[in-house]
Amino acid sequence: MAGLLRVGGEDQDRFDRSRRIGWLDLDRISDARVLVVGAGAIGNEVAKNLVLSGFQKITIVDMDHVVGSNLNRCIFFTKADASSRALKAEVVARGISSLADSVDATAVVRRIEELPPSVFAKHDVILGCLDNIAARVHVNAHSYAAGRVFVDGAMEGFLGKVTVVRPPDGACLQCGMNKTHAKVASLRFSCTGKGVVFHEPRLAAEITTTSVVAAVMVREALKVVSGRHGLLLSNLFYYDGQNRLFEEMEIPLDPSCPVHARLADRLQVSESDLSQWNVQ
Amino acid sequence: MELENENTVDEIIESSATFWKKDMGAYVLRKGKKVLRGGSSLVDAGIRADDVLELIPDPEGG
Repeated sequence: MAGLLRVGGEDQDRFDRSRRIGWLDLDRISDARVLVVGAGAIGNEVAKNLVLSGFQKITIVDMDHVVGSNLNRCIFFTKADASSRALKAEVVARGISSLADSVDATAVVRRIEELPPSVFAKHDVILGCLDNIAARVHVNAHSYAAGRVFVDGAMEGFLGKVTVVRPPDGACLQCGMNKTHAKVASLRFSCTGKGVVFHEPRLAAEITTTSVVAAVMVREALKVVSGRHGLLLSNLFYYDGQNRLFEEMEIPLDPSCPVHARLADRLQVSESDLSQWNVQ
Repeated sequence: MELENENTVDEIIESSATFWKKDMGAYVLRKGKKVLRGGSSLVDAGIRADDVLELIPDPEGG
């Protein structure tokens, strides 16, 4: 016999409305391990959306600290965090833990390049919330080598984009890059004689674009984990909020891109492949 | 733009970004829904006379 019928009982179920979307696999979603790389504006929104969507096992990687200018677009950051130079990954981990008791959030206060490549294979889906090309190239290459779907978000002002990278057959982020990306990546680094300094330009950023990008990213992650690969973006979502445009575009696979050229030789992506992009 | 068959997408991006005084940053060239490969020549990319190519910024922030 079925359980007792309780009038209004469905209103006590946190995920009742999610369950009404037939293809969402909430068991797999709650069991999936998600790697969020970057805890800035997109990282805040993505982490919030993940938890509200039912994800529980979330690793957040970021080495930076909160500053006052983050507060126009980061839901979990406060003035007190900026004053105390709180670490972004830790603040976001605490923030999402306060949204649901079941959340298992891990903050990793490191640059993603400092983590062992095995970290990618230990997660089911990778969400890139980064602010520079070099780190994107690193995450792209290692996610691809680990066979994990990489959903990358980016924005500037009212422009946003989400790219879905699906190994082993799909195009990757580098398939869509050209000399302007290499130039921008190289300008981020300068040699001082004592080491390499990383320059972070101050880009235009606001919350509405951040929200759109993060929403699309988490929706794609839901499809990945629910086994609905046929519904995934193929493979680029481009958004121009100022001019009221949003559309799906395609980055064709480039067999000569550094990631695919290496895979064609059945070799792992090596650090030397990444060095041309100044990726350590 | 006046282009030759052997011109590459990278060259077109660089020339057009300079000509229109675009801000420093990453750009891609698209034809319809497809993003064109930087190293492709016009012939390789299947570009023909009167095709419309669009230069779009590739945002970097997060």
